[in-house]
Amino acid sequence: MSKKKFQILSASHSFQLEIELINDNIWFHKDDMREKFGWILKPEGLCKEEVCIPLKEPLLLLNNDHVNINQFAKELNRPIASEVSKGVIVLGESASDRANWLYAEQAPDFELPDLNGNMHRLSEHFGKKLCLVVHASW
Amino acid sequence: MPVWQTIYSELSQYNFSVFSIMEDKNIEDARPWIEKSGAKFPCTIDTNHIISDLYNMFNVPTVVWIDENGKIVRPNDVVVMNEGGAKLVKVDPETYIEKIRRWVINNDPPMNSNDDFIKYKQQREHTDNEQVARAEFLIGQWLYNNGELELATQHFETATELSPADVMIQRGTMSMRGMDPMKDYGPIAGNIIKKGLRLYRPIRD
Repeated sequence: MSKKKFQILSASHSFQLEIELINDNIWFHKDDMREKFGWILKPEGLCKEEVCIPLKEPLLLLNNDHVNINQFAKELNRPIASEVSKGVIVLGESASDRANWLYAEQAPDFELPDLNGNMHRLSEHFGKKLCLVVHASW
Repeated sequence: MPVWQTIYSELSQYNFSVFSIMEDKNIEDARPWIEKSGAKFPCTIDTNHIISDLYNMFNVPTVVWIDENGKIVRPNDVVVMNEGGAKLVKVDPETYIEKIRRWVINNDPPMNSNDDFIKYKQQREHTDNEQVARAEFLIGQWLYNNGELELATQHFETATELSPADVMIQRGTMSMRGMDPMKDYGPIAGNIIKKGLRLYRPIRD
């Protein structure tokens, strides 16, 4: 068992998380579930604001005060990718969350930099008809 | 992109704008394209493929129409403005531009029917495997930025296995895997087609 700092990434942000490696399984303290991810464990399941998701496999999720990160992702239906040798984990967004947002009342909002590092937010342009044009140098 | 500046010059007086995003591994890859375009609209760079993840995009170019209320009214579509590309995707740029013009100026419907839109949405929902592939891409991109080229390649390959039609990942990572995204793309495209998958998914209307 060894304690380490891992980098947790998503497409839009990243933070550090203290983890414990036990036989290649990655565990983190259950307090960090609230502090870092915003989820609380209640009798009805994993809860965030008004939403509660019943647990599929509670015995795999918790071990004393620690949460298994792969099971945490599985419970939330979120994609996970890790490179343990470099201390980095990507916790992505679930297909259903993404699909729901895509065709919600407003197009998914985001903020991206231009060549000079100035940030542009899509929703700043709402109120006009827009063509979002996505391309690449390749 | 110069064509989009022409469209913008003509139509911006009708409460219309263009928002450009380049899915490149760094700002420098995108710079010459943006600088030579003369674009007066926002031109952004998306190294982490946030847009592919949010909008479920698989290749470039992809265009989305958004109305005044911020709602998507014509989802992921394909138009290539140069002649060779237009032939490849079988979308005539002039017809497409005229469609934009009629939508912007006359408020014509952005798609033929609402049924088309619903059918389209059902065909293009995010799947679990595609989302895991995007997580694998992102970890690969991070590893590449941290000098771990071999590990990065492993994660890009895992992403490809999980989401074999994702050209955004496969071609977009070629220059990070020691390949040339122009010269070496043929066999990759061939593999995708052989699997019965599509490189481009234009809306046919």
